[in-house]
Amino acid sequence: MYRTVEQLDTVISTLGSTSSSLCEVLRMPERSVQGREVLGLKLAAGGDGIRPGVLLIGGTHARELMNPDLLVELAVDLVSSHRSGTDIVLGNRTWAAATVRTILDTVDLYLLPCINPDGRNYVMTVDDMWRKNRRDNPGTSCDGVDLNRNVDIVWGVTEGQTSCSPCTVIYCGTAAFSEPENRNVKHVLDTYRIDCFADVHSYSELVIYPWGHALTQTSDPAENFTTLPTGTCQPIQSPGYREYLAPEELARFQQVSATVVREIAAVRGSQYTPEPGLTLYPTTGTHSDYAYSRHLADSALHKTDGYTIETGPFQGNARDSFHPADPEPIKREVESGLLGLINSLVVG
Amino acid sequence: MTDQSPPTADLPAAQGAPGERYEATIHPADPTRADADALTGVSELDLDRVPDPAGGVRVLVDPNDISRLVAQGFEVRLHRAVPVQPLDPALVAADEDVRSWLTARITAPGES
Repeated sequence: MYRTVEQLDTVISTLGSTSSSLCEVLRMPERSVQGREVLGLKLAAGGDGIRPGVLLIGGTHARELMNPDLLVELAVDLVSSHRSGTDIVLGNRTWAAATVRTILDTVDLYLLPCINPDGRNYVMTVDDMWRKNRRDNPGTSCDGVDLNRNVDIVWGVTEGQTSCSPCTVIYCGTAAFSEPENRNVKHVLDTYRIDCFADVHSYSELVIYPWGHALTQTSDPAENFTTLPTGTCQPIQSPGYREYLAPEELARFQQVSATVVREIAAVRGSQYTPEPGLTLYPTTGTHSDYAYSRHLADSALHKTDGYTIETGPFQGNARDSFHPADPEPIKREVESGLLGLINSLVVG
Repeated sequence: MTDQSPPTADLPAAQGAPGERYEATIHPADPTRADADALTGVSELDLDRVPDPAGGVRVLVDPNDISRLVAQGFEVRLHRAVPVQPLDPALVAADEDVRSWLTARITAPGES
């Protein structure tokens, strides 16, 4: 079963009102293009001071329905465990109450479970395969911007699955961060210390790390995205271009991805694959690459590791893969993976 | 539904019915060419591409997309109709179920 936008908001608001010592409702500064309020949550226990932060977002692509539900259920499980001292049991993987307590005592966890509420509502009421937000694109009969092509990393470069045409499902919008739903995500990254970011999508059973727009190389720091023109509405024009990633950074991404994969598998044996974003297909303007690129584009910004998780397997057809009749097993295994991701900041 | 014996699109430049849409895979018309090489240009067609378990090119297409693909020399195998329709209401949670679940989960033992 999938919750409506209003039901997701009810869960968030109830957590804020009944567990205020652990949960703070974050009201995003901007409403969606159709005027819906966007709610987030901050979960933290213990004292103040400098604490690592994790930001998890979901619902970026409207039809990938299970992920907003997964994120509010993660919040409920963490709060319930912390309050009652019970373990979080996810299939064959048990997260001990003491571990949960340590996580919440150590990490500030930020959740934006459904960044695209208009899209989710449209999926539930009009078209269950809708992907974008509900932007009215002037001068066309086509609606929507692909929120995972619209942020400021090689924006508007039509490498692979990115388009400048408003009538496509991969439309990047009129400018980087033209969409209020995405400016809300940027607001959280700008406002809070975020060490680790994950955008939860469906489907393919992947744990994705940088980069999505080009092959990765680890030898030439000068060959990097800050030298690429943006907004060209053309593919990358440099033949053989490869994006730099420092070797130690690549190693960390691979190590943490392996941890997430292991924690997912521990639930019921599903084997997710860790890989760079490009392997799925080339993309630009994506949230997870943007999150990681920020400190490279502006050294004054805090470094944020960026991941995309593609939840669930192909179920024989696209419709059932985006919203399977029974998403529970998938949500539980990915919940374990997300706990592994968060816990990686605790255990180092 | 399964992917068995998919029909191959052979549609005219049809307008199609409103909301008509298909899940399809795209293949090179020349079977002697490797898919990876022959399908390089597909990404430039701005289609609604969805992940394919075999690493192929799986898309959601309307009749105009299909005509365009066929005109450009691709073979389009239709797997199933995916009409524009709301999410199956049976998959939408009921308000009361959400409320009761939430009450049970965030009320600690001994609390009311």
